[in-house]
Amino acid sequence: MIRCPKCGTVNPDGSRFCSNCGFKLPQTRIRCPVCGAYNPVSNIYCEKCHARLNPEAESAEETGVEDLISLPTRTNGDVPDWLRGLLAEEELSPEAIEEEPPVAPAEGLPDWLADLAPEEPAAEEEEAPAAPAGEGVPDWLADLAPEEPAAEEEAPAAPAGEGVPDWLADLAPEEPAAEEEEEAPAAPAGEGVPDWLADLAPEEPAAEEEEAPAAPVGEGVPDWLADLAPEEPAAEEEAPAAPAEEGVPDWLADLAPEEPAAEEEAPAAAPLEAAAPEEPAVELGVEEEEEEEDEEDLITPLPSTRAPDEEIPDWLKNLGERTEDATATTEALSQGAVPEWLRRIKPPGTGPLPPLEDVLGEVAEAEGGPARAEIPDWVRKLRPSEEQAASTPPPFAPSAMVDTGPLQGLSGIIPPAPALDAPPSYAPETPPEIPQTLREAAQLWQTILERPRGRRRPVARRRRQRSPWGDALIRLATSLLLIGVILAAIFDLVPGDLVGEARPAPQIGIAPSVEMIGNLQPDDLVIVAFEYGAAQKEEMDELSSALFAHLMERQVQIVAVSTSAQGAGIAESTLEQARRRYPDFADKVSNFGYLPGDATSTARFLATPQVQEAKLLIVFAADADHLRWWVEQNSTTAHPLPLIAAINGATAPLVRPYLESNKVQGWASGLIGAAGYWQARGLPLDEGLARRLTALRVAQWATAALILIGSAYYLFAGRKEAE
Amino acid sequence: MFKRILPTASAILSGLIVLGGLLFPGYAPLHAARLLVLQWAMIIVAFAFILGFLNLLRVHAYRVGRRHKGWFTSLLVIISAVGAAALVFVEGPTGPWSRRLLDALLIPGEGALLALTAVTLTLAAIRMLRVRRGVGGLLFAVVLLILLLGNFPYLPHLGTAAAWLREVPAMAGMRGLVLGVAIGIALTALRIILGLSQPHSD
Repeated sequence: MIRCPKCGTVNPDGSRFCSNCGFKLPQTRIRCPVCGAYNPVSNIYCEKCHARLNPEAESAEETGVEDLISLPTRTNGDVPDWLRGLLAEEELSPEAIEEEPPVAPAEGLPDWLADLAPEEPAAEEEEAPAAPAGEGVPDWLADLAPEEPAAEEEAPAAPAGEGVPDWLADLAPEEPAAEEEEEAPAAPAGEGVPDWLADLAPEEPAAEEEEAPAAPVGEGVPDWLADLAPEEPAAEEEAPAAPAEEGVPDWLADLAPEEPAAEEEAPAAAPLEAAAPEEPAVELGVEEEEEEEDEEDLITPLPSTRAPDEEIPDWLKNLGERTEDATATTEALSQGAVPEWLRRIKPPGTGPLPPLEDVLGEVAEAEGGPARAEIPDWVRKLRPSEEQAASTPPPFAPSAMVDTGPLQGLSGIIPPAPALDAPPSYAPETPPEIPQTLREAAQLWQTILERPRGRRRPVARRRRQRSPWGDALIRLATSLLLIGVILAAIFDLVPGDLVGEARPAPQIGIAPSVEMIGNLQPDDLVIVAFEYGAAQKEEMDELSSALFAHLMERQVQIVAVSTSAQGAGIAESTLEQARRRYPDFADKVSNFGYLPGDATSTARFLATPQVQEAKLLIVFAADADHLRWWVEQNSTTAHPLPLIAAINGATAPLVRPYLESNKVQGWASGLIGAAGYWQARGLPLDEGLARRLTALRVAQWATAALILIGSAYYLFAGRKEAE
Repeated sequence: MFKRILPTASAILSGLIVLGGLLFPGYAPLHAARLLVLQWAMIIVAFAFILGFLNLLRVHAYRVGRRHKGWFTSLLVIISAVGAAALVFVEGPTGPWSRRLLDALLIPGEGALLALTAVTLTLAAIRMLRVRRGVGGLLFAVVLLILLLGNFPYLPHLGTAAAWLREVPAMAGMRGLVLGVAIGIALTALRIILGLSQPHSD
């Protein structure tokens, strides 16, 4: 984003004119480290000399960057608490906010800092641009630096580096572009003041054309500080700037890069260029015209300010040991302009700070500042404690110069500090509770593993392979025995004394069935449902024969129906047999056929008026579900029909409760039920049915004997084999 | 809409109509609506049978075409299904050849298979104590022997015990099963009517 230097509007990258005021916006260029030509930021190689503009990527090992550590990103919000609290009142003043010019970005800033830097207003053609200040300075410091007004029509009389240490030149506020080849303005007072103090200063007004405005001492200093500062005459043309480097405290001197910057036509800035001869410098807001390739970076001349050396605190006196100019500046600054509370405040790393309450109290007493009780609590909380100030190292320690990586040759880079990313309060998580079962399992494994190897361990025994002939022989013998017994009974080879009389066990539902059918009148309608398949036909045919014989004798009309596909065919076969047996009544039987839909079709069928006129419902079923459908749907009709259930022997126990609950009025199950029906009517058993009953009985006994023998064998003799 | 809401609404409406017809049999319109819905259900089920028949042919034709395992059996299934359907189409479900197919093929075949289950059950009962020697296995064997020997003329007391087993324990168990089935059916029907279960949308 490009901030308009005129109106402050933020414009998208690549914009040439401000979207708000139409002002020509400065452009971002990459300066070639070899020929100095300016190239678009998207270029990798210089358009003039084809030199590589950005170094090739290096591995993490080469650059020495640790994994999982992010570069610290500091913004204005990352100003140390002790400084933020002191600066709060001054920064928030309306005048300072309104008149605050865009801050000049720093040349040679690392990318992550350069991205955070605001844009610099464009300079006019052939204009000596203001040298980007704060080169190598962290962004949060650059943002705090106030900007100087533009000096018009005068070339800077005093280059930035002249008399000013490079690191202070970087920290120095930047001036807007000056008019071409004009005289440099006099250096404003306050130069040489540490940046954190310069940030307190309000902005100076712009200088007039062809005039070197004498910057008052109080400019850049709050009013209450300006009142304390002595008047300083404006510097004449080419007034040497006071080298502030010598007045820098040690903690600020650590921030300074080793090599000073230099330019060809700006001797003082030349070391800056020499510091990174092979490193492309991303220059923000340099020029909008590419033909100005020979343009030089000019460090903003720092206004010279001389202050007497009187009443300078010790830590400020130490600043003046490097150069005479810096000493002069420091003296000018400290001459009555530095209040007592400023003398006591020292940056972190220079020693324990005095209690803030004491400092502010003294200020309140001496200068009428804020009373002690007026300090808000949140400001007090921001003040670091003495132990913290003494023990905590500086939050950042800029390196002298980066040797490798994309920032090679740059100085003042804040190295990765893992502590910055650590949470303020870290408490290790408690391990999860291990269940008791897992503990026991782990102890068991531990016991097993620690057991001596010589001890015998349980080993699963292999089961003895059983001969396949044994099972096959048993299966064959059982089948042959059952088949033989059944055939013997059917062909009357079994002695009658052994079998006994073929007298079926009485069934409680047979007598009502015989009574209901016996009460039917000729031509009464009887619904007969065939709900069994081909597998149960042999058994169910005995039941249907017994009941159909009775029905035909009663000369009733029979309608057969089925909800199963096979049942419809079986019904037709049964009706055909009845027609053959009773040809006189053949026209009274009919087959309604298949009813698809299970219970739904049953309900629909029973709900028809013709069916409701029936006198009896007989269901031949071989499974419980079919009988249940008929029973349930019949009970839901307006006039439930009397129902007789003729079921096979296997299903009888499952549907017996319907008989007990009187949902089913008649009952006959299996071969025994068929025989019982004949006997209930006082008729002799059919010969075929009698033989089947005998075969069934003998087969049951044989089966019981086989089960008894086999169970006894496996229960006693076969225990060893089974184990 | 057509996958969730409409089927659910149709199911709820149909259920309410049938239930209303049962609860208020004297209200003629509701009774007629119930019969109409039941008639529709029978038609839909019949059409579903046709679809099932076609799907059976498609599945087995796919197996035959890809020569999957058992493709020959699938081929026999296709031939049998198509042949039986053609036979019924030609002479109807009560035609002579249709009944002959039932009497001569299906009834003996299925009867033989059912008879084999008797032998298999006998063998399983013999070996039961070989693999299951617990109290349950022993009790099962004892009850089975009592019921089988209940008709033996020389052991009249076993007949009485067999009758008691049939009338009391077996009846109690089966009543419990029937009650459970009835409650399950009622609950399922209620869930469908209320729209809580949507088996028709799955």
